Amino acid sequence: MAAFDHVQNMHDIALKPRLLRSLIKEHIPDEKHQLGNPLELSQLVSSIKTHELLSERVVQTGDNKKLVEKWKSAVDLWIDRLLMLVSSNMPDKCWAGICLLGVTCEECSPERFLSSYSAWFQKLLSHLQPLAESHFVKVACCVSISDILTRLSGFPNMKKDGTSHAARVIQPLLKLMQEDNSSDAEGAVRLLSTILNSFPSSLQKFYDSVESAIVTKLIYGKCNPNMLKKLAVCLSLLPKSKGDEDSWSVLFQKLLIAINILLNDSFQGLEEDTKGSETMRVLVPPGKDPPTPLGGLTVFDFSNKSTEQRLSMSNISTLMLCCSKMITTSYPVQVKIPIQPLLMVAERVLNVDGSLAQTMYPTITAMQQEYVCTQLPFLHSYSLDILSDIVKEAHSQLLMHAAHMIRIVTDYLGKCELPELRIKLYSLIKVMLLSMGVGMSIYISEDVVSNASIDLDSVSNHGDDMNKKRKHENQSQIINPRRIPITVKIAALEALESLLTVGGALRSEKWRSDVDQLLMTVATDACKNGWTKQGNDIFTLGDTLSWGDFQLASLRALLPSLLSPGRIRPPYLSQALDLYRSGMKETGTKLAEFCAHALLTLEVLIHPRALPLIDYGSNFEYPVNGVKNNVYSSAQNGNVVTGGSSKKGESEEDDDLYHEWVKENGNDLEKKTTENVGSIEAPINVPEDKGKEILVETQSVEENVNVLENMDIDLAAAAAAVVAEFVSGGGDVAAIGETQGGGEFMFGLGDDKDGMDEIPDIVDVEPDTDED
Amino acid sequence: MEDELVIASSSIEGGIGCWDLRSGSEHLRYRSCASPSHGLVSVAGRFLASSQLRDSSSASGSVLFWSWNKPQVEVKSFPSEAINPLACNTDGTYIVGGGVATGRLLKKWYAHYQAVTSLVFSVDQSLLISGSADGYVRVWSLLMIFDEERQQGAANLYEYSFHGHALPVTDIVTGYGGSNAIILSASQDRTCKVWSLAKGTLLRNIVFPSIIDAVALDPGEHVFYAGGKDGKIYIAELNSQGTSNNKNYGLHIIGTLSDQSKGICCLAFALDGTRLVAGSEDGMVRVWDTKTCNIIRVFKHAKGPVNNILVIRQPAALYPRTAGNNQGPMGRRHVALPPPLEKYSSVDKNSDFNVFINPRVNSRDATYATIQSMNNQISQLQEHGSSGVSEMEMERLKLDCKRLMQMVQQWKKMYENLHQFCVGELLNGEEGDETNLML
Repeated sequence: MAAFDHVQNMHDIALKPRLLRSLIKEHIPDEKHQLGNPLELSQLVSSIKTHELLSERVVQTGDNKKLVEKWKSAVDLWIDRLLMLVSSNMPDKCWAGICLLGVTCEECSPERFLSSYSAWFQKLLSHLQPLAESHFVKVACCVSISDILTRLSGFPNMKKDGTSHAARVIQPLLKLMQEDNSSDAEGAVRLLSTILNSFPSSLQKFYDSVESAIVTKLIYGKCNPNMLKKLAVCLSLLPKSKGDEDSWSVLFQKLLIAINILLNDSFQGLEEDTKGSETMRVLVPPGKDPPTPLGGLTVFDFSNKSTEQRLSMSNISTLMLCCSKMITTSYPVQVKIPIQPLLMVAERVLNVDGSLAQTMYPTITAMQQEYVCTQLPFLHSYSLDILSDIVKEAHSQLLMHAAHMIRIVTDYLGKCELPELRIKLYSLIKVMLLSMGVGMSIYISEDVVSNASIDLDSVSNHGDDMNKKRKHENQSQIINPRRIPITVKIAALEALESLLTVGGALRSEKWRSDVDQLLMTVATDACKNGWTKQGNDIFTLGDTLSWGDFQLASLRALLPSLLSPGRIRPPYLSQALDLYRSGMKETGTKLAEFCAHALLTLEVLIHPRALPLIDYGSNFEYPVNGVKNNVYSSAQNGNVVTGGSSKKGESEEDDDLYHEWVKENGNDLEKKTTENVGSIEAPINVPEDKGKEILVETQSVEENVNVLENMDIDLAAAAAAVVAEFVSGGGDVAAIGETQGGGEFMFGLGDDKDGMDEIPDIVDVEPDTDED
Repeated sequence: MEDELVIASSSIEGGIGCWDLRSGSEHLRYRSCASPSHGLVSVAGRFLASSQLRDSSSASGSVLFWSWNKPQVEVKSFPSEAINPLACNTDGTYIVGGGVATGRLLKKWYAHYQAVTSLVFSVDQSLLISGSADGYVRVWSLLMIFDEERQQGAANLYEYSFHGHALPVTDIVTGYGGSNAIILSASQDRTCKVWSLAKGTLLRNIVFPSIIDAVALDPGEHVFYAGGKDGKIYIAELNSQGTSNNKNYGLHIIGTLSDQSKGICCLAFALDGTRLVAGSEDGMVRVWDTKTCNIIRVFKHAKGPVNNILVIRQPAALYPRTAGNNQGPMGRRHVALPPPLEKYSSVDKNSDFNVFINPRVNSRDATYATIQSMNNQISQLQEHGSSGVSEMEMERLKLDCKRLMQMVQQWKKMYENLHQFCVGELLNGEEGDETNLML
């Protein structure tokens, strides 16, 4: 290649094959050479991805045929090299080849993929059958195969091929799962979940063995939490391979039975003995056969009585995790959540707090109790997860069980003390409120308010401690019997926020003013010492919530407290506006974003608007139509209360501007919408706020309405007079105002819209104050 | 823009008519339906359900379901008493029907002294508002209705009971605003009343010149439209302000839409919030543009009064064939939907009310797992400083070692060969020497 054969720029297609070739030359070792630093590999992959070097996407034209050929041969070379690497007996080279092949599956053109995926698959499979020595190779192999299958599933007509290919992996996959090493299983689980998602039917024959492999891994695998989650997802996906409702239900039933049996063991002496059998009766209705045990493991295997209780407790939480995954993972057909046993299990777990059952002499040792107590929080947490998953999935169907659920939640709300559980509980309450609406808020508002108040009450002290009396912090800790972490307070604020959002107006007289005050105090206290910069802490872990988050949460909760309808103007409006204004200056933070949003939202509270359907933009539009209309609307006019006739006079003179505008736009739609406006618009346009005034503000008895009505008219007329003076050179306008009342006056004013808007507001104030 | 359907049914045997609002073309006509007022619902856009008028002799009522693509009745159910109004929540999980004889609803609670005439869900689906022939409008919390324990403690099952109408309530609509919404009720006593849900009070009473059979709320709640027996649709103000010195119709009424037709039986807004669809006693369905107050379309439905109108988005299942071509599996799935109807119909029969049934309608398939895993794998491998890397290194060394061993073997062999050769040579040489010496 000529040394000066330059490409046009970095987007030039001609660059790509050349770049690919040089990358191959630099980074892909051949037989003789060693693999370089693995870091090079990731650079290689990133440049392949950014330049799409393997895509072979060229618009075929006459003159670039050569280019296409070039690119094709470069990719051919790339793949030859990779396949050579894959079959290399040096493990590191082999690993690199497998990884790059996986990337190739993602990046290459569909034609190339379809023509050669089968060969690649075969190549990769040879490392799993028999199993390769190196863990890295095994894991990479699994992931690459998973990528092949994922890509394959994107082709709608390749279902059959995909299934047959996937079926061939399963045996080695199971072998991998059975091996002790958990890093092996990681690749295997990944591949398994891909198969379950893309080609579930290939697993049909192996259903039982896969189930048992997953369960065994879950119970005995000593996996890390992340891995447990993945395994749980795989288990929940497993019924997809059969794809019917039954296998899903049976699996769920098995899970619940296993949990129940384990609970019987663990909670012995900590609860009434009947609980277990009650749940069991619901799970396996009398006269029906229980299903085979989960994963083919007997009860004895699960509880591991011979070894220790330790295992069985952590197994319960694992199985509960599986339950919540079962609920959340999507399933192709409609299935029935065994909601009652689930609620029973959750209730059962949440009821146990480690205290000994009262009626009996202790049947467990102190050590056993101690152990149960250490594990209980996890179980509680998973129970709350299950509950919130149920709420999220069941939506309105929960209605029948909502009462039961509310009882569980409110009972637990009184008992729950651990911060983490409280946070979960609050978020569960939030979900319940948002999903079930006003009805729910009537039910649980009092419990939520009282609990949240307690949690938030110490905020002011806490704020002081933090920022002023730092020296005395130790002291204050002793004085404060229970110091509530910020995270709990944030959760409590969020719960209050959703309570106000959903049901701030209905049946809220008892708690509303207290909550408003509380939220204002919390927000003021949170923000009084300036704003905390967010996001500066790289060193703390990502999830931790800081004072800044608390400030944001307090401001968020304040907004619905202002907006949620009440009988009088929100008492803390001006303080709140002040907070939002100062918060908005913290440019670039989430807090500032929210404050801007809040200010926009509150604007409507201050300038309430009841916009008419017609006449969106300006008053100009109107008179023109008045003129035009007469032809069109003559038929209608008879039916309409106010004829547009009286306005013709003045509308003609001052609206040349509008005529021009209409002509310019020549907008059909515009004309259509305004065609007949005249007839109804006149009434609508009149002192806008009066009607809404009546609707929004108290007057409940109709006579009162009438009185106010009349009063308002007078006021409006008065206002009209005031405005008339206001507007210079409005001689005719004033006259109209007097003769026609507020309505005609309004459009006559036309271009002074701002002024207009203000006047009715001023008028509004009076009835308002009268009532209060 | 999506296609909208206007669906209408009548109180005499006329089937359910179904038109495209934009083009005006008629779609399928679903057969054999004679519905009472408020007796037609589209269950979450999945299928149509309608209660039926039957001769008073038969004890049981009937509720029929139609799937979108078949004109015949698909599922029939016969609740223990005649059902007049039907309401359905947006998820399509519950259908509530009001009984005629005793005024009992789905879970069979005593709601009113006389027949329930209209039912409507509040916007957030947690409240049910019912209107009755006894003139009451009552608000029910569905949670409360299914909570036996609380019921015993509470004085009333309902949240509110509004008694303002002297004659039967004909229609109820509820507005925007969650807990602060308004409820608008119309009655044969020639009034419409506006109630506040939050405060439980009457906000406004509007007296009309005629009996009002149907009301529709402007989406901006600026005005509402009331269809009268005299064929006029009155426009009454909510937030807007009419010229109240108008003597023609009365307070708060700011205008009418009228084309000298017979009485208006039902009203519904199109999804754009400006077109108003009105069903009339003369069997016509008229579409009004509320901006211009003109009729923009007229559909002829039946000879009898059109007493139900729905405006909904065109369901994909209406034309499964075309949908199937466009969307592949989506179309087919919709056609396969009817089976769960059986379940619903069993729920709908208030006789055997099953608490257990909780079908989950979640059929969305997981999307393809992204192929990003590859890169994660690589970075993970790099970070993996410990066992994996060393193991690989060892593997490599082992192989090296093996190769070297082979080499050693080779060298050894060569050496041995050489050695033997040399020894042989030597011995031969010695022999030679010896022989030489001997010689």
